[in-house]
Amino acid sequence: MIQNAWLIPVFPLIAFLILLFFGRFLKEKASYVGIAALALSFIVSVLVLFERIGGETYKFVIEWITFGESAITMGYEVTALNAMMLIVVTLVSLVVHIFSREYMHDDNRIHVFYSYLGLFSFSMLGLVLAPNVLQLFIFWELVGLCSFLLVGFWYFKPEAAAAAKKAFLTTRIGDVGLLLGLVILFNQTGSFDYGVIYAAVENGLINDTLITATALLIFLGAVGKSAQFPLHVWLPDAMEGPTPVSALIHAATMVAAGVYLVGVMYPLFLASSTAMTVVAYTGAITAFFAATMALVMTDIKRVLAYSTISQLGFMILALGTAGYVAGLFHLMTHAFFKALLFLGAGSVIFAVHHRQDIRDMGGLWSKMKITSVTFLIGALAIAGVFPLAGFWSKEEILASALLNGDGFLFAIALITAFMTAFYMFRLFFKTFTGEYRGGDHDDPHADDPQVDAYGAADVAEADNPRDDSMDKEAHVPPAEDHDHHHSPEENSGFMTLPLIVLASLAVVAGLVNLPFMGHPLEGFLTEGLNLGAQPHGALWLAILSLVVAGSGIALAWAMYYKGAIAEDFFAKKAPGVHNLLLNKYYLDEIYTAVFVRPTVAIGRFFWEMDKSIVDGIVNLIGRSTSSTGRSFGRRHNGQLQTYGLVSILGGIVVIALAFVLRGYFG
Amino acid sequence: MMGNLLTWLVFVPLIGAALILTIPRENVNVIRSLAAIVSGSALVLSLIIWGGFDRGVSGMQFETVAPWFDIGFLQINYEIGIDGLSMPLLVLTTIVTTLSIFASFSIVKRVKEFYVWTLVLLTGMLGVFVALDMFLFFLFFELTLIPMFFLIGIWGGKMREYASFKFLIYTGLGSAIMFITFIAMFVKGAEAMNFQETSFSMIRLAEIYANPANPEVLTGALKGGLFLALFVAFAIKLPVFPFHTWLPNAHVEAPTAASMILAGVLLKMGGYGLIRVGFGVLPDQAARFATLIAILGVINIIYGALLALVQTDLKSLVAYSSISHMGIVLLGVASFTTAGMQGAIFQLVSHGFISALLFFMVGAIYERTKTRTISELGGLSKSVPILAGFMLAAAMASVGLPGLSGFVSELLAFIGIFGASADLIPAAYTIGVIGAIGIILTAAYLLWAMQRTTFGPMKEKYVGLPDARPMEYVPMVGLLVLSIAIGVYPHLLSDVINTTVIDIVSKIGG
Repeated sequence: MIQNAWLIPVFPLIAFLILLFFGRFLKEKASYVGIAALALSFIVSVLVLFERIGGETYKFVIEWITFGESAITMGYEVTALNAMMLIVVTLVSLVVHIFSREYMHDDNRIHVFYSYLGLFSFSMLGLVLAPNVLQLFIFWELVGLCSFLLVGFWYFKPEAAAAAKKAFLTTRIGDVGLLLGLVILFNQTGSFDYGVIYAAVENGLINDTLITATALLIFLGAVGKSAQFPLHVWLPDAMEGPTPVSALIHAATMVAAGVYLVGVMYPLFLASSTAMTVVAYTGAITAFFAATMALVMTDIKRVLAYSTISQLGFMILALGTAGYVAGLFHLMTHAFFKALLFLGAGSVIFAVHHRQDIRDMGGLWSKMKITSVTFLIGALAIAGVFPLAGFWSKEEILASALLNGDGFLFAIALITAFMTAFYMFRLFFKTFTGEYRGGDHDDPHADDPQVDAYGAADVAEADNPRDDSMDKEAHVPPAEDHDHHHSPEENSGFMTLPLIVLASLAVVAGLVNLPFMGHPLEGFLTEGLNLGAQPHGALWLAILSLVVAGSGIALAWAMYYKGAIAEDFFAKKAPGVHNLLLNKYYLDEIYTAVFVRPTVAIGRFFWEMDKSIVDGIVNLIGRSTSSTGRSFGRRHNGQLQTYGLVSILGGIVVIALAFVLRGYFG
Repeated sequence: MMGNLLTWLVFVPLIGAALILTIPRENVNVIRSLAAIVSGSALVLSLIIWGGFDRGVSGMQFETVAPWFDIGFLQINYEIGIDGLSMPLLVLTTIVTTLSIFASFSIVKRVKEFYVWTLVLLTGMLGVFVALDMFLFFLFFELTLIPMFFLIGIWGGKMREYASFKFLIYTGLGSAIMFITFIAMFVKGAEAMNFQETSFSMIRLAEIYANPANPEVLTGALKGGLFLALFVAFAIKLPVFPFHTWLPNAHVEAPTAASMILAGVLLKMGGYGLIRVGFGVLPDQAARFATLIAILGVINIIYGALLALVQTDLKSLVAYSSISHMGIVLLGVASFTTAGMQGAIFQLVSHGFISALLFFMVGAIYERTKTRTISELGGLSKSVPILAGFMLAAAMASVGLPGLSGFVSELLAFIGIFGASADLIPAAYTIGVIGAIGIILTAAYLLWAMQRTTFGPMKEKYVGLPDARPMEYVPMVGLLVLSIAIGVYPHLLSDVINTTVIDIVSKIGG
């Protein structure tokens, strides 16, 4: 089966093509095309994984382009790492396909939605199967395109259109770095193949400066895609996309591609201690800053978005401190529990009629039993509670930061772990416990004329402008009571089945790398690679991480469930910090002022210059010439004949002159 | 027949134009069909040649040499032939012209003349790409000028007269410089052979300039001057900053079909001429000025992109994007590597398809909304979803999204510039990095434009606009499929180009 691994991306590609051409006629049935394709991909992925365990890497390539003596090839390859990734991607994609069947069924462009999901799955799987880093880049860009299309799926909302552009452009900055890194590597090694690059690094064919430079350029790509500081700003805005998209692309798969990239280029990074340090610190800083912003957001999706950024920071931190397996292990466990949390959020949003502000929720525990329980499992997993998946992988990251990093990195990781537990349980308690606060008023955006006029009301998820506004007092007052919605209730099996599947994985996925079973995943992933010993923590570290998680949960419990500490206790204590966090450290404003406005201003300046100076001189000549032309005749044809005549006569004169000169010289 | 295939290809459109002249002007549909058939025949001929083209052979193929006129010292031959550089451009020309004829079926003004000029233009363009005699080359080059002047001046927009004259004066100036330089090359070539031999043939002149009987004639200063003069002549066409200002006017005012040909083919004559004559006859001088060419390439990329960013008119945005994209060609050729040269030629072809598609889309949208002002558009995905979809695809191709042809040329050009020898271009890395910023700017102006035109709420006045007509699918699908085909599997094209590329680069021992 491993030879047929190419089928895995091809099934969703076929689904995409079918839906592109015939989707209009299928409408809602489009979902079954997508679900069937992903089910097939998942089955093949499982077969491929079983064959790869205990088997060997399989590779197939054909010539793609030739120039001079060089040739670039394309094909597919099944290694241990991508066999694992195939399972993660096809599984999450499959459950998201199933979930969307219900979530998107009111949207009259559901077939377009499924065609984009198919294209995305194809691209993501193509990225994973790539046998060389150029092919990875090609699919890397295609997943970016799909992200753009899906964030902007509700393109008629100006916020969605802006978010789509921002996502594409911000990641594009990183992509240019990545492309340059690849180009330089190619010029050094004559190939994009992983194997050739690894060998060139090991044999010292590339000098140290270039190793560091290319590693950092490639890392820039990861920073953009995996939303690391300072290019993380696109991911929270990307929440404008439908929630299943957020779960699949902006939590589980595409955003993890940056981590995966560092993983597949790991020998290059290991060869440069400078690059490793940059990676570790970028990850740690990102993990910390994103977590601080997650503390104050009130939009359920934005809390999860910042949480995603923070967790990706954890993975990057692990890779930067030689924790290869730790980072990739967390990539896998995070994919399951974060997809679970996002789909859980989607289930909630769907039930409360497309509201996303947790201040309008509450009390859902009794109304939505499956969603609540699975969400709790996801929250426990991400907080790192024993024995759930997040516990095992996060503990390895802490070990890596402690053993190979420094005290600062370790401290940052611990504080972030504490904040993670706190903001997740803040979210959980606000959403599921207490009284339901959403029954007495409608979605504040339901009366938005734009939304009504273009038939978007049935699909539009309310974005939440309040997170962006500085003024927390601007809380929308309860509107007149004309509640035509019924109170929230549990959704159908299309939505709950994916939650149950993912929750099960959030419980058991950690088992694949159990310390007392000899770290089976580690053995699988590192076989044949020369990556050095993987760091493992002692028992005290596991206990410490549990204590940290426990205290975070306890604080959240005290504030948002028990009410022992006022909810706005910290906001009142440090209003400046609170504002800073609510405004996301003003980074958007800073970027606009520092990069966007000056660029446009330079463009305007050049344009004026172009019109007045460069063009002006030419026009001056033009005017005198055309007035000369006019003296020959008023009609254009007359002028043209004149021109032709002058041109040919001129030519003859020049030839004659040349020969006179020749005679003269001769 | 086989030996004369190229001649047939070049003159079939001219014969077609003569045929159309005999048809009464009222028979609009006959004229349109005939134009499409004639151009289609040229397309088929070019594909037959493509099929018969030997990928393994370096040097010219399908050659024909016949004495044309001979006045003692002045021998001008009808010398034509193609290699891996001209082969793809021939096919590009017939494809873009044929599709633009389909795109212009909506034209109702002076239909007969429109197609006569278009077909004359086609002969001119094909002639430029096959001519190996410099005099012949010049004649064909001139032959493209007059039809385009009329196409802009008669069927153009509000400012058409101004734009057409600007086009004529500017590119006419370029032709004059080219002509004088050709004569000088001819004379000095003859002198370098002690007047034992005179030749206008590019092939022969290249040999003469490489191995002159009397080397003292061909001083460095002379050859440098000749190369720079050639560079300026072709730089106007490509266009290269600061000779670009004719282009936005000409593009904005030209009718859709003419814009497609202008961006799709005419600009490529500049790049082609630079490689064929400049690099072909004076390779050592091309190498000498490599740094200058590379810097101008980067200026083109950045300057064009910055200006595109602030345009308020969608069509002039696309026009400035052409300037930016032609910078890639300069960057590629300057590197003197097989990758860079391949990338430059790839870009000529790729940009031919993509810019023609973009101009077609802008034209189709204008025809419906009666505006090209970006701020007045918006929500087109809702009102005309199919046109908006193709528009978005064209924009993505222009952005250089992998899977579409633009990516391949950018990749190769950057591999080229980063691989350029330090003797040739001292600060190649710096130039490459600055050029790469253009990639970000390109994404910025195109996506921003898409956000403001296809995305956003639908405007009331655009409710109920008709979406794509069946006839419009021909150019849209045709151009997009070609861009995807060579984007997904570039071997289709690189296979034809490669031998010639190796040939050109080896001339400076690279």
